[in-house]
Amino acid sequence: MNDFLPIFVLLVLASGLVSLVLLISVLFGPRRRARNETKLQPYESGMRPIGPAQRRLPVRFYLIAVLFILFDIEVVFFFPWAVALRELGWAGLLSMLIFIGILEAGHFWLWRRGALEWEKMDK
Amino acid sequence: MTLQQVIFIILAIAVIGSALFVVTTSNLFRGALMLIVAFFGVAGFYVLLDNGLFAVAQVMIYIGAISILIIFSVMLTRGMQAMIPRNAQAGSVAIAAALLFLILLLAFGPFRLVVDLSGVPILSALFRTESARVLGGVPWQFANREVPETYIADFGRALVDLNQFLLPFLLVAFLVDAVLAGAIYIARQRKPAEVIAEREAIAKEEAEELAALQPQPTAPTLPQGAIASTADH
Amino acid sequence: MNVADLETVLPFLLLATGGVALLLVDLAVPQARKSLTGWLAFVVALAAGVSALALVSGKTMKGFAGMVQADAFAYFADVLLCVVAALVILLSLRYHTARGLMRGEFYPLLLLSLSGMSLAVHAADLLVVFLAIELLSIPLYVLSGFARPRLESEEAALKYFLTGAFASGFLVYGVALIYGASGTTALGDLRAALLDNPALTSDALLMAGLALVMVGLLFKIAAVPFHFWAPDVYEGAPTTVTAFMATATKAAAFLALMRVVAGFAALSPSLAQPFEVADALRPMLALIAAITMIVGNVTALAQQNVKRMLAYSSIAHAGYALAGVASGDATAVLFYLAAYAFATLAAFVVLIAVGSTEGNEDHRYEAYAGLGRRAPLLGVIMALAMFSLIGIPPTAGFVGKYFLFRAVVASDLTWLAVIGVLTSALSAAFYLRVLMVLFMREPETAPEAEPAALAADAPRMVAAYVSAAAVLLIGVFPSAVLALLTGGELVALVR
Repeated sequence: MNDFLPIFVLLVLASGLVSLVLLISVLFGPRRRARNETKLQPYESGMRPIGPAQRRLPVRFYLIAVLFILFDIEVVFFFPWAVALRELGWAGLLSMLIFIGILEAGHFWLWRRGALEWEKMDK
Repeated sequence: MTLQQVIFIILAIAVIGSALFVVTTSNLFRGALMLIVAFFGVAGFYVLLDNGLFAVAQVMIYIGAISILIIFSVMLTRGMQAMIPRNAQAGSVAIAAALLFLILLLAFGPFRLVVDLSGVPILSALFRTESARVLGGVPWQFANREVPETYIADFGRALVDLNQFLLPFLLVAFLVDAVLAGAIYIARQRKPAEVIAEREAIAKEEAEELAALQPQPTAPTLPQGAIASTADH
Repeated sequence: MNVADLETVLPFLLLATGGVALLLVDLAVPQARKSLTGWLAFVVALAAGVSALALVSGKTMKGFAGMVQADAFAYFADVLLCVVAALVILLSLRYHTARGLMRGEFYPLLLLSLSGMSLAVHAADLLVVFLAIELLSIPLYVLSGFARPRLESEEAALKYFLTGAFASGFLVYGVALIYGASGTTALGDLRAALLDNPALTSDALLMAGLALVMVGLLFKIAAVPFHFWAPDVYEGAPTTVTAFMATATKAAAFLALMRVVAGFAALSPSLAQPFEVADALRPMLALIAAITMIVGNVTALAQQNVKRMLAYSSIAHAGYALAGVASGDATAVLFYLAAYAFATLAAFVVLIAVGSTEGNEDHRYEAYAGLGRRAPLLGVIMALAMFSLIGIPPTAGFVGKYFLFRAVVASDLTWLAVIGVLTSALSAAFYLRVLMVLFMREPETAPEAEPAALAADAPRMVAAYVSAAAVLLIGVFPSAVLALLTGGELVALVR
């Protein structure tokens, strides 16, 4: 647990800093009520905002996120295996190769199918 | 109170608070962001349990990937960011959940309430054995072992060991492949033109097959029916 | 890696690797010839079925550190699942072309789902039960939404996915509680631990875990308090997928359920043959079975759509099989599931034939008017299926119900058998209604398709003949099937 103490300290410092900055701006910042619409608009370097900033994204983003999760899960399994790699020897390597082999089949499939390319994705 | 307990209480407040925000807010986007706080708190619990590996996995998978997916999903869906969901069942569900929580607290929690069902008319008939009639009063067992220093390596060894978890481990790989194929099928956008062209080609093929089956000239009504069948939905 | 270990899950390995390999092979198959992928999947399913048939023996073998178990029940279920899947593939070739669903992903996903089912019937560890149920469910979520631009199909996929994911949550939470209470997830160890330590049998944590696991599994078999997803999903999914779900998924989930129930057998003070149902579980199972039979049959009576009626019929039959589980006779349950699977498949042959030819996929009763006279073969197959589902001799359904109710009466649950017989009589009303519409009613409008089109597809006809023959053969020669099932000594589900 002590290994994670720096992270805890970092968390405390980070949230402290953010709170401090917010507090300073509340204490010392100008407090004028916005009187008109223009003042509430997002600052766009003088340009007129064309539309709302939150638009509907294409479904391809979802696909990227799903693929990211799947390969993330793969990596989580690699980590403890890698720690024990030396004592596991060839048997451990073989088991992991089978695991990777199955996953690589899926990876190869989605690659050839064009799921990794933005334009071909819908085939 | 030890330092561990202090940290636990801080984390618990953060997790419960952010989780409550997630289920009560009407802004899905903010809810998704607060979910990250809840996930982070759970990672903190893993650290308190001396399992840094799971904490890292929690941060990588839940915060790094699943939260992103949830945020994408919100942004993918039209009009969801400004949605005001209505839940007519919120009140009754809250009461039911509170009651259930009370029962769990009594049966499993610190109060150790023991209910003897032998006096209850219907329930006692359901359980014939003596022992099954008593509910509650769980004697929780505390692990009196320290988490070994080598737990990450132990975990890695168990995964690829034939005598431990090799089969579930390989099963995960097949599961990931199934998810992969399914997700890509679901996510692909079919363009209307493509669908129509495909159906027309199939209708043509079908008509030819039927014509080959029935050489007599009464067949002409069939291709039309076949086209209607495929252009329908 | 040990060869004996691989042997215990050989059908699973064949199906899973076959499914992944087929994904890759499908890349090289041009879009116009996707039926080739279907035929390859057919070969893989048959190969797995043959491997299971070759391995059947009375012996019980454990593999992968006791995580899986190979016994007569498991191999019998493997054979049943593979045959059903192979028939579904035959049915889907033409149907998918006609519906514009001929996509290469279908068959690999079907095989992966089938591999999950095969593993579920071999499971001897709650971890494997959970993972196998996931592996069978996730492809099914996608398959039920396979007709994707169609709204009903999308609705089916979404409903199935949301409720299914919720049920999986129950299942995995239950497994966690059981592990917390007993320190093990292996069903055999659990049983031994319960026998060693009687105090554990009254452990509230263990009972809560058991209840949650039961919820997860009862959801998969669509038993009544957890059946709400089934009619909508069965109706909205492509008919081939519905046929697969109604037959194979149900059988696999039932076997997993029986293994879990057998793992808790030691909760019962008397250890009786052939597999024991704990006293704590028996009333619950019997009650759910009774409600399922009543609700399933009564609701089926009110349906106006044949496909939806078959969905409620599948719920009702889950109730019958569950009554068998409560009686503790695994042989009777498996026999019943086989009889039910082939009869249902025969009924779906007709639905798929209609879905492959007529204008839209209309399964209302009116759409079937006079079909039996226009296509007598389909009419006869439907009649056979309906008679078997009611339980009229000499069909498989009769023998199945006879064995089942005999086992139920033998285990002092006569009231349950009475409910079963009464609801069977009630079910004749809606099953016979289908036949009445098929043979005695004139269609309102002139039919669009000719009789030749209904019977045109050769693979579909093979599937029709095989399922109809199975219904008859199981009904006339039940002992041959029983010999395969028991294959020598009748073994306990959990050792």
